[in-house]
Amino acid sequence: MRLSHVVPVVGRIERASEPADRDSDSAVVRRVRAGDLDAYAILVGRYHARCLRFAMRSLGEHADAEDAVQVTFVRAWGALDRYREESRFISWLFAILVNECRTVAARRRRHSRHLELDTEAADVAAESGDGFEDGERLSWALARIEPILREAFMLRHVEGLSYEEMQLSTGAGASALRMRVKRACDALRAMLEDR
Amino acid sequence: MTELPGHPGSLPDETLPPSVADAVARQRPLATPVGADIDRVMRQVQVEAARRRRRRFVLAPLGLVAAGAATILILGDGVGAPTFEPESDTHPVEFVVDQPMASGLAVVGDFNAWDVRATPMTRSNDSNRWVVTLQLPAGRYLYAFVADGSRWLPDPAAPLAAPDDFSRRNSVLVVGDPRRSRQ
Repeated sequence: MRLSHVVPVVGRIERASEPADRDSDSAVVRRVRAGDLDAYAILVGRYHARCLRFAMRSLGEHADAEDAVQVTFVRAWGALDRYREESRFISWLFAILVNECRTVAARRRRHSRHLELDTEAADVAAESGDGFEDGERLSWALARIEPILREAFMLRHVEGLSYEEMQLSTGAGASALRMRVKRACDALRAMLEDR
Repeated sequence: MTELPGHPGSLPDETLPPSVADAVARQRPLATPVGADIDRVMRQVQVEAARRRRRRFVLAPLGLVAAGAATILILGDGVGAPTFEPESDTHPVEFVVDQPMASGLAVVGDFNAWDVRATPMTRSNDSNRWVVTLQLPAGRYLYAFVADGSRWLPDPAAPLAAPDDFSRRNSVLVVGDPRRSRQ
């Protein structure tokens, strides 16, 4: 499939508003490792919203997403000694979050049909014309593509991770990730241009 | 690197179709986390921190007790199970599992933050058995195997834990003196 019109991927990545504490992530991590537990709240404040957005789109249900984010931050704190400062804290954090979201989704596939139900509800809302604001068309479209494609697209084009960081977060190879992102783009374009 | 179907020699580029780029740009702005969100997480972190402090207090004298303990071996039906041999501060624990169809296997648990990349297992040369040995402090651990990066398997030869807060069933491993376990 050929991309007839493309735009550069520049300047679209949102950043959560950061708290007044301007220490780098690595500096905050060092404080936490030294025993300053309260300093960990700085990292939670910086990245909670991004984690919640990712988990919401991965899992489709707010309560599950909140739980996944909480588990992620607790596990990250417990494993902080293994964080290496040469990688960005956010990419290391997303490695834990991706894993947790996959686990929750796998458990849900065994026990429920939440995602399917959410998708059906979204279809009804979209067809009735009152379900999605313009800004949420991306969420609507993302809910309809394969989870593995959705995950790769979000990490790359919503969270702004490099492919090297995505490899760490997902365990997949760079070429596989590039293909997933490409397939996600094709699927999203088809849906978004169809409406 | 893999070629794109129908495009010999091509690679996926780093651009987005306008419709997708527009949808990404129009996302709802990220909300600033409210204090309650942060507090909720920090309360759990503090609970975990308190639990670890208690564990350190219990394990300090345990090293002396465990020094002369006998080797304990658990192997259920030859399928898979951890074996461990108490030492002083940490104990070598060998995880073993038969998964002939898997192309990769890892063990995840409390001891490695449930990170599927932290502890890959090695396939034995002459069998379908996957093994890895870890040094673990005495305590009670929950763990599971992960085949091919995504298929989570409880250990068929070990007891299962009660479902956790997420209804997940993991296996239980007790290292050292169970009366002084970490949970």
